[in-house]
Amino acid sequence: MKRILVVDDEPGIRSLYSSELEEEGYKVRLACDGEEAQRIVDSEDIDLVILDIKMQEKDGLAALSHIKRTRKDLPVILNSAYPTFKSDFQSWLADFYVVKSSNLNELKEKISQLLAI
Amino acid sequence: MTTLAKSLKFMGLDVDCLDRLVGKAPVGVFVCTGEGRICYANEFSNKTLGRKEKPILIGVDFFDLEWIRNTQLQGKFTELLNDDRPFQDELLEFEDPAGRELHLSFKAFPLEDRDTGQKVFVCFVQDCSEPARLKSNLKDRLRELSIINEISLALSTTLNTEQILETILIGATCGQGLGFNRVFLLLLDESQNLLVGKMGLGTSDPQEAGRIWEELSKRKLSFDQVLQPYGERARQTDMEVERIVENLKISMEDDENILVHAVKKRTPLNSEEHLERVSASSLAELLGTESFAVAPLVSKDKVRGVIIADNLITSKPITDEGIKLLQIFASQASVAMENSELCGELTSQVKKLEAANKALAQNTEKMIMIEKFSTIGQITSTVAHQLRNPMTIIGGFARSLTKKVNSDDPNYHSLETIAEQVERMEDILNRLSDFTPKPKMRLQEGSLNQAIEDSLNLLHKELAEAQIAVTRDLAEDLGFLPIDAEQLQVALVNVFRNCIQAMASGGELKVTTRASGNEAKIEIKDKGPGIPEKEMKHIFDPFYTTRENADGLGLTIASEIVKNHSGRIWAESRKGEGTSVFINLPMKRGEYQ
Repeated sequence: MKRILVVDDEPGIRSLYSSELEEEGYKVRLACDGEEAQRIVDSEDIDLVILDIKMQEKDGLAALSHIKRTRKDLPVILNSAYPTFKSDFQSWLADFYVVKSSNLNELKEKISQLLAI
Repeated sequence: MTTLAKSLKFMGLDVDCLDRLVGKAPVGVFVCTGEGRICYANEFSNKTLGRKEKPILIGVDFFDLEWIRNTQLQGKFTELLNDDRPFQDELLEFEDPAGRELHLSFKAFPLEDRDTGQKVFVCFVQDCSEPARLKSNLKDRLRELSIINEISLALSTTLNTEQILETILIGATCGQGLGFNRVFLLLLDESQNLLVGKMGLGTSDPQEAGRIWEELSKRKLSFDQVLQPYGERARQTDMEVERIVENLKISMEDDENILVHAVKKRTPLNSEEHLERVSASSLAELLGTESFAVAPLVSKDKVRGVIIADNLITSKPITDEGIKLLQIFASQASVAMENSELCGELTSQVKKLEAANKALAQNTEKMIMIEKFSTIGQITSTVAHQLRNPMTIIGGFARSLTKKVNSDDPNYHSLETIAEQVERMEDILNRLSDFTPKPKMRLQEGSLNQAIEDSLNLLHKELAEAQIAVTRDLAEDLGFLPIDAEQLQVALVNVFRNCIQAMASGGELKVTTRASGNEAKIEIKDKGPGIPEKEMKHIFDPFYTTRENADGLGLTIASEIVKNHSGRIWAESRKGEGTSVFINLPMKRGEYQ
């Protein structure tokens, strides 16, 4: 079973993603900031990361740099409420950029696309 | 002995001497008896009051003199003789035996002979012709001044060229003005260098002329008062005057022509003095009279035209005074015409200034709007982010629950509605965030045709649902041009979406691209109902929409993005035929900067 790490400082988002993705058959691991995400990636077996950008502690872009330095092949989907970050060159490191939406179809599509490879 | 007798005696003079003195005096002295018979008249009296047939007045009955009959003087003399009532300064206009017109002043009183007690009446006559002539001249000058003043006033009250021309004609013909019978106005056509007949006034029919003048002379009106009724009557120009005006076309190169001569010499002319010297006979033939006055219309060295005035009906000779007045009047008229022209120029300048001011005001408005949007953008960016998380959660859970709840469940539709409405809110947020301050443009060599294809792909579902067929006519030689593909896609999607909304019940969307010089040209044409003209100028304005459930930002965003590409965007629409949006983008960087 593929393990997905959901990183978001918003408990509601974590809860929604967890419920939806588990329903899709993934095992979901949760982190509430970049710091915690880095620790989990470094220590646990994670197949894909869904990463929020704006967070209270250590933002998503910094965490993304760390992940891509330490685990180059680990797919990361940036998931932000800010569409503008798309044009930030740091976000290019991510495999996909999905703007937060109540409709999770796009996110799910990208996940299955990345995990199918 | 009287004082006079004493004085005479003192000077060694006698009564004979006094007789000689009075006899040669430069005033008239005559004496009548109580019956009115003249018993003494000095030389001056005989010379002025005597007639050819009766050069000596002595022995003549005063009341038999023809010139006294039916005059006020006759009454005064009767009162003097009957009631001893003296009088003085009684004036009489008089023609002497030599035919000279004289103004005489009479003074008379009764005198009683102390020795005989017989009563005589002594009368002094003084020639006041010179002061009277001066007075009359003064009156004439005053009248002229008054005419010029009134006409100037009338001319100064309007800046309308047609009204000025009409005032000129009326001023020259009406009795309150210069009183010519007919007047013709010619204006200089600079393009053809011709003096061309413009208007005429007056009548060539003596009966009609008589009727107008009689009617107007009955009422003592000022020039200003006469302008309207006379103008109305005069506007009904008679056929003859009209014919003359139509035939007045004189080349300015014809130096022999009296009109050209007057204009070039800047001087008024009396035709009678120039009939031989300057060819005026053809004009005289056209006017039907050899006697006419010509005055050039010139101001500040600019020739405007010429006035011809005649007295066809009354045959009144054209005097130097009349010509002089006509010239003063022509000068006034020229100034009025110049003022009118200046006013026209001024009005046009004012209009230009107003347009510039309007444009400035619009630009200022735009700047304020941009400033506002910049602030709005920053606020919306923050608000959008803060809203997006809770909306994702609410909508996400609602969607999640719809999958878990059976569609028969009474809560199913409520959950579905929540999910749909949240999605709608998210859509609004997406559009708003397109309006937030953008990072600097990232122009890269990209394919415009590809950007169009990508945008159409994004919309393929919406296009299919609306049953819109897309026709592509994309230029193959377009190559690559500097674009921010992502932003351009946003712009194109917004334009396409507008087309889709315009063809709600299906239609055809045609996309054309062409390379033209330094520009890549896109035309996006829908076959919708078209946009009314009054709406066209607002379609790129923020929040302008005529549709319900639309935010009015689509074309504003498109316009902003195209402008960021240093491109141009505009639309053309025909009612019932559809709307075309045109986008021109530079083929090279900095093409428009």
